Amino acid sequence: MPFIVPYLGYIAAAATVVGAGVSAYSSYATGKTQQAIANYNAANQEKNAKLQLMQMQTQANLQKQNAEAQFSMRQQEAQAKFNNATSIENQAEGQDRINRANLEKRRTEMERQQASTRAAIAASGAVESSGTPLDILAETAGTIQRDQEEQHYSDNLQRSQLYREAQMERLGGSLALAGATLDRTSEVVSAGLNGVAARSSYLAGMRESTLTRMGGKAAASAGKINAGATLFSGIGSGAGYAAKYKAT
Amino acid sequence: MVRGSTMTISEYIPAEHGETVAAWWNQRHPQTVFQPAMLPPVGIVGLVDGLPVAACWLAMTVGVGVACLEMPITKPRTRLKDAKARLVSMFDALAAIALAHDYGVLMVHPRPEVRGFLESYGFAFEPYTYLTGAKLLR
Repeated sequence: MPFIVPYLGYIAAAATVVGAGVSAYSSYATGKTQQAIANYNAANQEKNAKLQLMQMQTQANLQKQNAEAQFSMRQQEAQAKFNNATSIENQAEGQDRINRANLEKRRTEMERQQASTRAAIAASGAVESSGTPLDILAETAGTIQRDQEEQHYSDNLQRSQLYREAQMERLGGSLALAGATLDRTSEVVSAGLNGVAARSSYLAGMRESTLTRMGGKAAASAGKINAGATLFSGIGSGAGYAAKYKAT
Repeated sequence: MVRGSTMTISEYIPAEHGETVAAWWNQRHPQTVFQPAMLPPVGIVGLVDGLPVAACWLAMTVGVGVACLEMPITKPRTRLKDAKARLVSMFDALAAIALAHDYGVLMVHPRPEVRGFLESYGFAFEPYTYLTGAKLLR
């Protein structure tokens, strides 16, 4: 039995070293596993960051396109108002021409009536330069003048109303255009800011993934260092065992 | 670490995740008892918003570059579509770990009902017994 004892000692020492080897492998393997997990997570973070960037950029582009489309539509609306204003002005001018012609026609008609009155007075043998005939002629002339003035006033009123309407329409068009321009500018600026935010979010995501990767690398390095430390302590204790059994 | 509801992978830590995973296991497989002592050393959990939603292990054989996927499980009452997507991510992560250790083959010994899913993931099944599936990683 006594000759077996030293051998047992050597076997125990060897087992300690083998144990340390296995333990060293485990620490190293754990570090590697952590690094692989970190790399996997980092790759996913990068993928997500890219996907998010694409989504946000697409959204910003859509926002810009939508703003342009809205602007174009409202610009057309404003143009329609301008066209409407021009049309009302044309209508006013046309009506003016008609009114002038009507006025002229009415004046001629009334003058013709006045001439008939004059002829009737002359036929009756009365003198038109005094008494009732003069009064009749004077009244007829006054009526014609009043009628002409009233017609003229009414025509002017109609004309100014149409021009005012045209002016209001044009003003509406200008305001609509100004509003559309303002909205478009605001939307385009907002889209630009969203684009910048997308880029910034992407960079943040990429930095996050870099940090994740670095964390994995650190875990792998720590695993290597621990492996070395375990191996040293294992060899140390193995040597200690050997020394102890040699002394026995 | 977690962005939105994207799943991230973390190492399985018995003290942190053991109880949750055991509860899932006992709920999903009441006829068997979850045995933490039988779990291989390399295990991962999938986290969504910091909470575990799936777990799986990798048994790495010594001296041969073959690793087995073991005990994949997802949180009970997860929609089938989500559960499949999460398991695919878990398998991808374990494949990355296997490759990091120079293991080039993944193996599975699944129940018959999940073979189709595993085949769609890329496992080829042994043609006689149809019990063992293998997937080359490189």
